[in-house]
Amino acid sequence: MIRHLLKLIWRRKAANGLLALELLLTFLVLFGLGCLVAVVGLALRQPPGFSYEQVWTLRLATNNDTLPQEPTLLRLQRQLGQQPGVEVVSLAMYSTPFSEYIMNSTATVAGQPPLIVAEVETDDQFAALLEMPLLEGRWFDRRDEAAGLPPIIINREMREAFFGNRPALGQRIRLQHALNENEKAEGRVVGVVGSYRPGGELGPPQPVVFRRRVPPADGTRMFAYTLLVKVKPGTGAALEQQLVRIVTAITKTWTVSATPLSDSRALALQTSLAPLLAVGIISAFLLLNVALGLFGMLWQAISQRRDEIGLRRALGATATDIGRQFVVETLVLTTLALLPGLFIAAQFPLLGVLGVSTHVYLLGMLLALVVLYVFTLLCTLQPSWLAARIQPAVALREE
Amino acid sequence: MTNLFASATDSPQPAAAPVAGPGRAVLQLTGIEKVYQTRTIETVALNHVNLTIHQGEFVSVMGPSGCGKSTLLSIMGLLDEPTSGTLELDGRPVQSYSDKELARLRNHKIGFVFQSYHLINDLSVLDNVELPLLYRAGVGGKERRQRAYAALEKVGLGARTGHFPSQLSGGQRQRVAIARALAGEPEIILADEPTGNLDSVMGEEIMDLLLTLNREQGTTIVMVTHDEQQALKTQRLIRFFDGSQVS
Amino acid sequence: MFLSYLKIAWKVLLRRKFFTLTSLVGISFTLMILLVGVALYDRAAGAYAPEQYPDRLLFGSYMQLKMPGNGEMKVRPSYWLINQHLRKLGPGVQVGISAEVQAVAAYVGGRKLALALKPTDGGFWQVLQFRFLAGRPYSERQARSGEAVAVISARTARQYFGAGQPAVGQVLEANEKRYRVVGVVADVPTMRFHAYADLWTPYEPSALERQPEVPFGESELLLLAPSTAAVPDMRAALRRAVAAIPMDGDSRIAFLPSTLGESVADRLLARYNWTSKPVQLFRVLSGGAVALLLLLPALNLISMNVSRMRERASEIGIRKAFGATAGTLAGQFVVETLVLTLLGGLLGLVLAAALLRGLSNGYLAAYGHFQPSLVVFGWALAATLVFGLLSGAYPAWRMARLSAVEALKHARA
Repeated sequence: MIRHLLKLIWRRKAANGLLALELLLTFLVLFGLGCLVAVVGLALRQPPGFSYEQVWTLRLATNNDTLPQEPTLLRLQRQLGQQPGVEVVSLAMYSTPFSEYIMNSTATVAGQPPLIVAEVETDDQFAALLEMPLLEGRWFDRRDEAAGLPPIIINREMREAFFGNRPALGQRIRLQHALNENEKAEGRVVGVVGSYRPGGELGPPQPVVFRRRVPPADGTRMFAYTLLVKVKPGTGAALEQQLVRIVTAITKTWTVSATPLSDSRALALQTSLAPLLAVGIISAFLLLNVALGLFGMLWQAISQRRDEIGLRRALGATATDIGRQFVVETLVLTTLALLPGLFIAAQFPLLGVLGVSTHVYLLGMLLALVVLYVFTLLCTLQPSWLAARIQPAVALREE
Repeated sequence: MTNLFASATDSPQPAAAPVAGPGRAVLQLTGIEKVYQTRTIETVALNHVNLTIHQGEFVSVMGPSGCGKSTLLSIMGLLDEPTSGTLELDGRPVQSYSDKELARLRNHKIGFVFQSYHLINDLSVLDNVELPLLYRAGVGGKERRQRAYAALEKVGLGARTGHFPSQLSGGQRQRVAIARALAGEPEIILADEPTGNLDSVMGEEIMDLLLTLNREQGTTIVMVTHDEQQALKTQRLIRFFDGSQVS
Repeated sequence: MFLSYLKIAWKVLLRRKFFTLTSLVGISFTLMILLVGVALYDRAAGAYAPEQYPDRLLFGSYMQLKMPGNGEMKVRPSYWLINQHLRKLGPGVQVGISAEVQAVAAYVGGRKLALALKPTDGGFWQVLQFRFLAGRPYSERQARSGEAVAVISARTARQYFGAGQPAVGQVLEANEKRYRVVGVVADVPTMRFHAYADLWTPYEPSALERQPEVPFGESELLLLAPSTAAVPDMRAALRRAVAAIPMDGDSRIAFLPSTLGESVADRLLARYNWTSKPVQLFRVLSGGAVALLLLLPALNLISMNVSRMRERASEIGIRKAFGATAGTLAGQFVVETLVLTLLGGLLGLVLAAALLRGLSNGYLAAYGHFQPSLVVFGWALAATLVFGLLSGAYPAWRMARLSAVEALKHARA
């Protein structure tokens, strides 16, 4: 029967070809949408590896303050920590969650190819403040002050990339700033945390390395710091104003901006979902056109092929056979249109052009296939039902 | 050719058919009435028709346009249901059959030939002839091909299997339609003005073909026609007027 | 004659409901999406205050920094670099400097008022044409000395001082700093990110950006040429001025000035690390989207027109048999296409206007007021007409030229 339908479709290629082209183009757009959905969906399945509730970031710009910064920072942390309503304070340099600033470093371990990792320089409170799960070893603490080789903590992704099933604790890792060859560091792994993703739920999983911040001995001045402040539930603008006031009072010339992590997260979500929305709108419009094209073709086919329908009934086809023929014809046409589409889509993982995992492409293809098949099936049901209802005696009546 | 008929009786039957014998009633119409109801008028297409078609008969039906001949043929072909009355096929009433069973009966027992051929333009001659076998369970692609080819040979079109209907003359198209009716090896062929669209020479050819089929293979044929000459060549002539049988 | 054509066309369209529906939906939705898309882009990159003369504007947000051994980096210039080296770019060229907005907080009666603060120089107010509702901008002298003065938006004035209260001359306290308000400007949509802020103030004198020999920061250069024709000269002058900046060792910098439209594309895609050439990607993506949006309805129309012509072959045959000429028949189809296209176009315009109205009042309220562009509407409608005539009338005309006998024969097959 399929062969029979293929012949029919081939003979009507002028009308079917245009529709097949529509289906192909729509499939490619849906494939794009499917990949975006797959990226977001896969990311959403994993927890971000930290908790953002009740955490504020205080971004401090030092504005070329000429005084030594370390004593100021210490005073600031102590004062902020003593505020009623504040639970913990942590100094995190730049790389806080949802931050646009990501410091990339090249990490190397003996006998392994180098790996680009995100580097976070922070203190002893960071993990507890963000409620990060610890898988192995420990987080930084006072013991590290005396350590010969600086301590390093890595996340699960980095552990898997470098050590697989072998032990990670105690291993040496060398780090080099991705852009500045002169910034180098070396350390020994003391702990492994869960799969911490600085971009949050929608951020890609990536290897991250944490270094314990050591106050610079030579009094090097930085032009910005970030403090993470965990507050008690139910505190609001009044506490925020109080914190800003303390910063201004202690630092004199520094400027500060306070943002709840939940706000940064909302912005990050918006950023990730915007392309999804845009491609979604375009896909919806394309599907609308495909539906119109399908309906037009099928209705026309049914009115033009009335005598064919009557004839088939006379030759022994049941009403169900006729309905099924139209459904299968459309599905065969969809399949014909999708074959080149799948071939094109398959080039992405084969050539690895965009550096996304093969999983994403496969999921994207699957989603596009399902959506398109279900959609064409739905569009076919009503016209097929119409075709099945045609009375053979009426359809065959000679005019 | 006998081989072909053997397989027809071997093929699965929806109902246990009585043993075939000469003169057995294949179609039995009793008190058949067909009324078309529209919002304003009621048209009686068939009025108490009683008719028996015996096996091996060649019956022609004549009458003016709109006298109900085509309706009669549709009902005999199980394409249309009578408003009242009973139709027996091989001695069994067909009212009780479902749509699915009726489709099977049409497929196995009945072959149709139409005035305007009703060939599918987008299918080749061979594919058109294969069509009835496509709706028959248990017939493989190869067997379909062979049987369609044999049927085309029978109507003298064995050399045109790859052509499309648009490339054939009217007479050739009707011969393809007859081959299609033959391919399913039916007991009865219902022909609705098979020569109506053809000139007299071609019409003669088609008529000869049908007569040969009836004579040599014993196929039962019911033919609606306007042509008195042709009707006289058949074994029995039934005349219709205004939905009723007049002779 | 034309009226009778119109009548027949109307009847034909009513009779062929599905064809009419598909054509109308195809045409009107395509137009609607195009109009809404262009309106959104126009709101971000069109000629509205403060960027009233987009053709004369250039923005230098990023520099390409090449360091031997370290590859290339995209960095933003500092206030100092622009102020020191790029102030003089030819006669009539206005130069402005501004930084990215910073989130600051003001507190009104125990409630937090989150404000976006944009540090600028005095030239900023010359390059961009803000609409002042009260007061005036701060001068270059005030900006240089880092006086604590501010221009605020109408909304900020309303929220901080209360509706109808005078703002100019009052003090606004944000992030524990007291600013004297010197001017109030009409609200700027956030999409206008070069200009947008709630609060504009001079750079802090202590800001790192202003310290000597700090070349990189968070600022951008804004340039206004005296005329459109002077833009190439302005580009060249900028290139020369940048080349003259003394650099350490073998390092090189180059400015990447962009037009308003380019900077919008850049901004839209900069959040995604998809490409190093966002402007090109934006062109490809939007071009591809527009092509698809036009192509699919077009394919539908073509396939419908083709099969419609086949159906109508007998009608044509009969009309010809009764003496219609090829010209009159073609005329009939042209009128049908015209009616259909104009109806679809009108419907698209209404849909777009309604959708934009809804967006302006709801989801995109913060981005300002949107309206469909009539110029784009005109072009799109013209394109649809041409297309409709090609896809519908050309086969019709060919069919009309057939002889009556041929057409009737065609109808049978």
